Amino acid sequence: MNLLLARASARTLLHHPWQLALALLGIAIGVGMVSAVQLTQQSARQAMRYAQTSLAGAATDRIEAVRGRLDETVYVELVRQFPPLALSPVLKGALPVAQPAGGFIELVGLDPLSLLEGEAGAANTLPDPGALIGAPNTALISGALAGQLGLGVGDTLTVKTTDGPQTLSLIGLLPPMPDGGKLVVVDIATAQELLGLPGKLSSIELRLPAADAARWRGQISALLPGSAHLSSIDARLAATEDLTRAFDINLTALSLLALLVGMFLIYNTEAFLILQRQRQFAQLRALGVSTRELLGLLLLEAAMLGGLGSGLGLVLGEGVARVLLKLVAQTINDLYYRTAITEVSHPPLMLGGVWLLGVIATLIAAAPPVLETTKASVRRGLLTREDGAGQRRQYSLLARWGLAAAVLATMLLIWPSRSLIPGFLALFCVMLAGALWLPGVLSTLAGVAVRRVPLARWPALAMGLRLVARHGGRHGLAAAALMAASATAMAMTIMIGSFRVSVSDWLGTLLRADVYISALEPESASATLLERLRERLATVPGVVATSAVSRSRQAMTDGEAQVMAYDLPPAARAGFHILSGDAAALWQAWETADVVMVSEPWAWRHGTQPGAQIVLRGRAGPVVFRVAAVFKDYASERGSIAMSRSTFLKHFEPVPLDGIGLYRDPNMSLATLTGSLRAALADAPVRLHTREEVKTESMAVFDRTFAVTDVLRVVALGVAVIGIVSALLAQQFERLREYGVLRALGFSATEVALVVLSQTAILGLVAASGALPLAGLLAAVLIDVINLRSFGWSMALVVPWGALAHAWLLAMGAALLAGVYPAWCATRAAPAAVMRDE
Amino acid sequence: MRYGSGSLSTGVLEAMDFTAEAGEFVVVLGRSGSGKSTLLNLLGGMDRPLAGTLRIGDDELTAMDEEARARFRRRSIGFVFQAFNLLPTLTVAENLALPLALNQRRERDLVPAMLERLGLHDRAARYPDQLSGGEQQRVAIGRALIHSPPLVLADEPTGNLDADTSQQVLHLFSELVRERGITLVMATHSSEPQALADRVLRLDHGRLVDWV
Repeated sequence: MNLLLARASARTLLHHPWQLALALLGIAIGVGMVSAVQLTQQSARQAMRYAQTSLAGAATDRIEAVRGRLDETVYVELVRQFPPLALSPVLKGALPVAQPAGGFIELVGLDPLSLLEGEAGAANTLPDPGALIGAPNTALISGALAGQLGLGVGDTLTVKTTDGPQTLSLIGLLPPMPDGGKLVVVDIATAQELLGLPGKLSSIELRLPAADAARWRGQISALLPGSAHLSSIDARLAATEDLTRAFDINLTALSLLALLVGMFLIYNTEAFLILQRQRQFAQLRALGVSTRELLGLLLLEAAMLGGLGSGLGLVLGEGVARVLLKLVAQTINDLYYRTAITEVSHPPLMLGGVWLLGVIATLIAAAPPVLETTKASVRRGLLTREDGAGQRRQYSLLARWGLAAAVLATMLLIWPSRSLIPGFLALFCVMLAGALWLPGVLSTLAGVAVRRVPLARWPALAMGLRLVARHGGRHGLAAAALMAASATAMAMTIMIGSFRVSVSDWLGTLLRADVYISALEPESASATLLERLRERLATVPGVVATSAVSRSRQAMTDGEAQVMAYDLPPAARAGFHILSGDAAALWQAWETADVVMVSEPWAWRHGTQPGAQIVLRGRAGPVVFRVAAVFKDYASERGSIAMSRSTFLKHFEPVPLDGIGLYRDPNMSLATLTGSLRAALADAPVRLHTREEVKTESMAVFDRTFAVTDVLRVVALGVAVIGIVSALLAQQFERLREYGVLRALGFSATEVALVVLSQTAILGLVAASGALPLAGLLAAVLIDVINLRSFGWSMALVVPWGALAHAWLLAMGAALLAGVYPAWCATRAAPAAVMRDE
Repeated sequence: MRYGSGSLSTGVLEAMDFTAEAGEFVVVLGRSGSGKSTLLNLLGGMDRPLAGTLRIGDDELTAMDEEARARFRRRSIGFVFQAFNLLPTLTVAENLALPLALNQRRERDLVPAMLERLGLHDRAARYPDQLSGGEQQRVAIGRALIHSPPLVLADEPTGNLDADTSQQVLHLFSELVRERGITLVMATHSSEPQALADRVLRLDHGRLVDWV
């Protein structure tokens, strides 16, 4: 590489600091979004993995109760039957702290004498666990909790138990944990005493020899009672990761969209930086610089910009990840499982990958203008004349590519696949088609408007229109970026709005009871609490009927299924929205026959239709259930099987109730009923919610789930605004002479500013208006393809016109705002400079 | 009147006093850097002198703010540049119509008449990049004259043209200003325009050294 050429290139970039800053910002924001989402997902995944690994040591498998807790006798029996096996009992629970700081601690009881040895076990990092049995009520505390409570080694911690306050002596600190866990580890006997769970265990951790793990699993499973279940840690990890897979994919897709919009900006800036130097490049080539040397120079320049911008993006991503992590943790807590993610992890390989992605994206975005420049003839470059025919040819080419993208999108959509990848590709192709058609549409519309707006009456507007009509390519790219970002924001608004309406309608139909009661601690020691309460509350004056539901996981021939067992009064049955199957026949056979209905996500995932059969492992062996109907259900994306509670109890071990519903006498007010219910439940560890409260809380969870997409939507729109500022700045530099001539001819500074602003207004108008139909298409793909394939949920497309109008105004506002600085620059163009530059 | 540009105050014009009558063709001669373009910029209200006053007719340019000077330019000045500086986004007819539009004048026949006079009636719908250099400069001259400003300023209008085309353009320019009684001040370092000029100003290092 010729040093002089590189120096000339660097000087040009430094001579245009605004352009350089905007290019770096575009790359940084795009890469920052991808890195933020990746860091967030990685951190969440790491916390999740940590939660699945065992403090008891390097476990390969875990035995847990199907519901509630295991009986200690299971452990004793296993030790007796399989003496060579490495087994370790664990008991976990929460206890309120009696210290002034208050709150809860997570208490973990371990057997220090049977911790599993091995390289991967967290137990290996425990500081002298044997000391826990040396003295009564001794404990190890996590650094995070010790810091929060202001305690250290040698201090005491007082917790509230059912037998009154108990004091623990802190004899050591636990190693730092990625999930920021606030743990206290004690001997298992101490844990059973403190938690009031004598003879109970949360799990038994096992380390099975890798060579014949399957054989061991078979033998152990055969010995386990029906209430216990053995699963491998790896399978659990895979299942947990699978649980949030669709959510992860959607987040990744949004972050890649931010990068895509960022690429528009990079292309735009690169195109300007190159266009501006076309004459210089032509001069260099006239002097003998080869095409290859020029290509190398420009690609090196793009790679350096990409490297620097991506580096900045990683720094930006770190900051955004901290915000996203809180939102994602909340969503995961609301929808999937309890987690305490607090720290952003930094896997170097992932960060390196994202940085490389940024550099590659920059090179791809820079390639078209670079190749065009190196292909152009020297003579043409020296002339640097406008070429209207060339531009028309370009529009025609873009339109053809747009048509190809639209055809590909259609093919991908009609292709019978259940995979998300073709769905996202189709989404991308729809957006690409829109973006490729826009420059031509913009130029054509501006051309039509030129004939309608007389120069004599509105000189500034007429000039603006003519500039857009003649330089549609440059404007078209900025408009395409704005349209892509606006359409995405609008499509997400339509999708989320449709989803919200569907969920709200579903809840409105489903929730038939007036009051709902659920246990404070789902895995309550008292398994029959709600059962007993149901009987008691049924006699409260004003309660005319009750319903009940229990949730459990039951084994199928392949895997597990969530089974909902309902005890429904006739009024509650109308709450189920039957999508397919004969509702009358279903309810007729509901209590007496082995019929089930499956939720829509279940039907989607398993391809189940009414009439199909499902085999579940019952108490006495496999039971065949006939699927009578498919019902609408947004409660779980994994899907569930619903049957009557009487059918459930006929075939399976009883499980505690999860909730009960109470139906009110219409003659009694809700306030009166809840008042008497609260009085009746004064000491019971349960929650009481009215129907409206359940609905409000559910919708609040829904809104929190989509809070993270709001952040990404705003960022994508922000990138587009920067894109327009950059495009208009570039155009302003190119048109400086024209603005100077206008000033020389007598245009005032205000009129020149209007020329610029009228261009951004036209650009905003076309982009925002074009975004509306594009958003409709994207929303249809999101709802009917992406959502269906991700979650198995169908929903009606509902257009929230108010929110769309808001998004349209936002896009228009963004375009106008983007014109302010370039307009100001244009007014500063000294007319005398025109003559001086000759 | 003194003029300075930039931090180095290059191209300084010293005090000068000259008069041009309506309809006169004045040629400003001088070498590069003598201050010809600066003088034209000042006369056109595109630059402001550092000191002194500048009066054109009844208008005192030095007392005007930027907006007032813009209004003065659109009403009273026509410019012809060496590099033509036609607006590439406007057709030939639209380029000609622009000064009329800016002055709110609705005479529909002026543009076709000017096109006829320039010999460009078949080029009306073309864009500047579809014209030859000579044609572009004829359009630029038409644009400077169409609204009949009292003063037209031309900076090296034939600098980018070959000898034959230069001759044709100069003759056309001269005829048009005389027909309309417009004062033309043309900066040049070529000798050809002198033959057509009523007066010749010679500048050297920002000083008026000769006034014929």
